Amino acid sequence: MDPTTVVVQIIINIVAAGGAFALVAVGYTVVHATLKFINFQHGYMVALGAYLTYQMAIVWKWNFILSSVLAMILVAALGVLIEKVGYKPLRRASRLTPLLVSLGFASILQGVILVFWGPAVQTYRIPSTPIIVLGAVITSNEILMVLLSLGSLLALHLFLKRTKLGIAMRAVSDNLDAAAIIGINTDRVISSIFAVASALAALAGVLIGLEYFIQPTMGFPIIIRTLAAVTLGGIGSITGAIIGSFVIALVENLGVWFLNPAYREAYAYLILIAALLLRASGMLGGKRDRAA
Amino acid sequence: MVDRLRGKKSAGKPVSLERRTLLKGAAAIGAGLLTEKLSAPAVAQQREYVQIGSLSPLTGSNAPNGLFITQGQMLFEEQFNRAGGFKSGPEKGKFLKMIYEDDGEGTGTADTAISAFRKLVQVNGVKAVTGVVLSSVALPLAPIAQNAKCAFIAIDPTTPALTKFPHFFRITETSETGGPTYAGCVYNAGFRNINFIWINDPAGVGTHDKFIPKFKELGGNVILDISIAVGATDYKTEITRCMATKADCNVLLVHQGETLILMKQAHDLGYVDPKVQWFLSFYSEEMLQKGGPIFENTYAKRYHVPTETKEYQAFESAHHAKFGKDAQIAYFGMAAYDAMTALARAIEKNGYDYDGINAGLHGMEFQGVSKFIKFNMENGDNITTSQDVSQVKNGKYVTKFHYNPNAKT
Repeated sequence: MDPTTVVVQIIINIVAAGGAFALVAVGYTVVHATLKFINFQHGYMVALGAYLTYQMAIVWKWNFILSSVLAMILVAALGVLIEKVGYKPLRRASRLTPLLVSLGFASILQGVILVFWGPAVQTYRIPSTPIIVLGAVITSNEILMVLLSLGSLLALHLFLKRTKLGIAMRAVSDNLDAAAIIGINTDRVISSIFAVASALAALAGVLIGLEYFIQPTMGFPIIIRTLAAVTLGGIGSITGAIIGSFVIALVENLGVWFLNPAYREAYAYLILIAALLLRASGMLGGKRDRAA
Repeated sequence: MVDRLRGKKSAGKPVSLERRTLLKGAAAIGAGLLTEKLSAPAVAQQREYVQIGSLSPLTGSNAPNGLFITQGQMLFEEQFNRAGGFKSGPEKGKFLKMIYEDDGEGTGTADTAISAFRKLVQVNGVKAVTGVVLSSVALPLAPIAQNAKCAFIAIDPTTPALTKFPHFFRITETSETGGPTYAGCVYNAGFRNINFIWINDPAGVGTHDKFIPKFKELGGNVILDISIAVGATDYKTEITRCMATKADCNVLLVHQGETLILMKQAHDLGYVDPKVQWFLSFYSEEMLQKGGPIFENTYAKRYHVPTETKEYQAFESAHHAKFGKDAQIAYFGMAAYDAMTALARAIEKNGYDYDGINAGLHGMEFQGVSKFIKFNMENGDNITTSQDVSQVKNGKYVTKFHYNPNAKT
């Protein structure tokens, strides 16, 4: 394998790894910016999206695209329900309370997955076509993953910038009380935020299932990595969440290449700590750019 | 009802039953009930049980192995009790009862296992536990079991660090012998220039540290020697590092979940046969079914099971009868069955207490289902086993050769 091929291959690996996790990170940061708590259950919305798609597309043999869309709708609906039942009553509580509730929901969701699908690793077993680019290999699933991720993020960006609901979401995320004062129905907007974030999480789950494998315990490592990406990028910044995801993927893969692969996660967290020591609000964090 | 008791036969005057007749009737009913209770069959009476704890991975990436272990234990429990339980010794007349707990292996920590173990000992009061696959779980459990005075037979942890716990027994060999055995399998399969990819946990470290020098001693060359993180979902860059070498075989020493991801991603990258061979450290029909074509032409080693023995044949019949002919008979199920056999023998001989069980286990030897079992006199180690090396052809394992590292099997 010549050096050019190696470099191209690593770039492909980074882009593919960063793409799906960017979806998770963006959904997470929008919720966090609005309600100001660490939402551990978000990682399990990813897992649930993956498993629902598995059930419909692989077990019941429905059309894969239809199954993915249905999974996104179901997970979005569940996200809204969880918000209404678990988080709305706690809007004025200290940040620790909804954090603990989110841990509870995370455990419940993991338990539900275990009960319905069992403990074993599952796969979509959808074949992928390898495409050679300058000697390196990118698979058709990876291309799909990157295109869908970027497309979804662009759609979200346009939604937040150009639609009434999107603008309202940004206002609520920026200042909940002020948004209520000017007449925005904050309850409806927060439900919409949860729906959008959960749908993005479910889509990420489908993409992760396509390219990797799914297992009931996948939610927790996803959320930890998401937290790192969002913190690095700046809480509340969608652009920051995307950049943070790719930076985490870059650091991990470079660490794997040049150092000991066994500590791949540690490299990302070291960079995160260093970055926060330099700039505590993250790369793009700060007053501006809330959910935008 | 009251009228009938009063003997009201017709619209005429009521007739009072004699009080004595009433009392006689009540006594007859009571006597009948008492007789029925006393003559109830023996099985309805309170049985006495010797409770044994089972700790195995019921969730997580190792869950398939946990299922096999549970099956082996259930089978033994059923057979043992059907045969009448303990027939001699201090526990004569008692039966076995398993209490199953999830040890959460594959999550990367032993927290779940430790909590489950404590629950078995403190809440259920067990004095013996069996199960556990990973060294990373067995290692923290060993001193806890010792302090709790709870006998322990583990199934598959290989780390040599467990040898220092003299009463922590295991069915599998340690990596002291397992590592060189694996090296011999790979070398005898014809591979001379390899990449060695191993999991960074106690078992991986132990086996790696013995594999590498043995493989070099045999005349092989290790081009790339890299450890991978437990539970990661993406190994593409690790595979890319392997692709940059001129190895003829990538040798894996990782768990099932990681194996599936690695092989899938290698397959996606086109980095499989004929470009390079892959050698896996274990063999699993279930994994083969899940992965499908990604495993085609890969090599795997597995413990050689002496299928010609009457112990294996009896186990096979019983397993088919209970779980169906299609249910896989896996090494972990057989090893779990052998662990139960060893425990039951020790308890029958010396009673259900820590010192008695340990005394019974040290030096015990018998022909098990999975292999010949022989526990060391000084510690809980077991003897090594020979291996079958197979290759996947058309979705099925085909045995290529048998490798005997000169140990009794």
